[in-house]
Amino acid sequence: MTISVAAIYENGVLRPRQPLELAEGTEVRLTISAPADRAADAEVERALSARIDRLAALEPNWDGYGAPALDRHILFAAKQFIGWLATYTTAQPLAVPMSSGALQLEWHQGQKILQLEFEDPMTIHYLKWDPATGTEEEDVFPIGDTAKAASLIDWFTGVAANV
Amino acid sequence: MSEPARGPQVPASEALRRAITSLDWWVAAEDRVSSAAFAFPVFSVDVASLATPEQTLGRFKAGCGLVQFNSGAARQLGFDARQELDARFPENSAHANVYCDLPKNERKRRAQQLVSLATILRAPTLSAPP
Repeated sequence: MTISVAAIYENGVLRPRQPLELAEGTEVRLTISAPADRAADAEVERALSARIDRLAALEPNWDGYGAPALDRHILFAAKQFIGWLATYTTAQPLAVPMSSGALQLEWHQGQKILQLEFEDPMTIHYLKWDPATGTEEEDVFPIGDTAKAASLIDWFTGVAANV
Repeated sequence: MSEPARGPQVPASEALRRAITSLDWWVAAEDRVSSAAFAFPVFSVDVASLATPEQTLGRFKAGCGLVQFNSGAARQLGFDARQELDARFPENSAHANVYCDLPKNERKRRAQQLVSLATILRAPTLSAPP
């Protein structure tokens, strides 16, 4: 089993930034890659937060089809998520408003697509899409399940995560 | 309370057009529309044989994009177009609602399949937000 997680080094101990599904006392082998690029992390978070602030200002009927303004509770939850996201990846998504009042993060690379829709403040509805490999996967998970979010981002960015 | 009866089904041979009214729905790097424009239980289109692209775009702000897809192919994916008036534009006799009655956990996948079917008639030229 191989997993890839972000971790922070504090007081002589490496602390994972997400829960690990390991039994207490399990011994693992660590391979440490380059330290996280704090400047890049901050830039991802700043750019996404600014974009969400702009989307928060959209007025009702922003799409010309009668859409409501975006749900402020969803935007708040998305911003919290982005705080984690920026520490995990520098692959910057698009932040896309939905006519339902929800918000979606989208990553595109050719035909390969990852969508994370914050359909309510507690739930992410995702789509993994890659015609080249026949991948069409859609489901929901709790917004606090960063391990699931990390596995989806790893799939998109190509990081090995053969759990 | 039961749902109101739906309008007549749009023939499978018809083309349907949807305006891309937000630059946020346009993936500029890939030059394509995002499925965010279609991932809903119901969304508006115009029947192509009943309105020119200019008539459709004329109801929206300048610079919107326009995409087109076949009604029959969309129906095979689960998108059922029904000719119904739009309360916001009652004079638009070309209007149809496209219903997606699939379970919620299939809508994104189907919307992405619909994007694959769609032809871009006009790329949006809306100004990028500051």
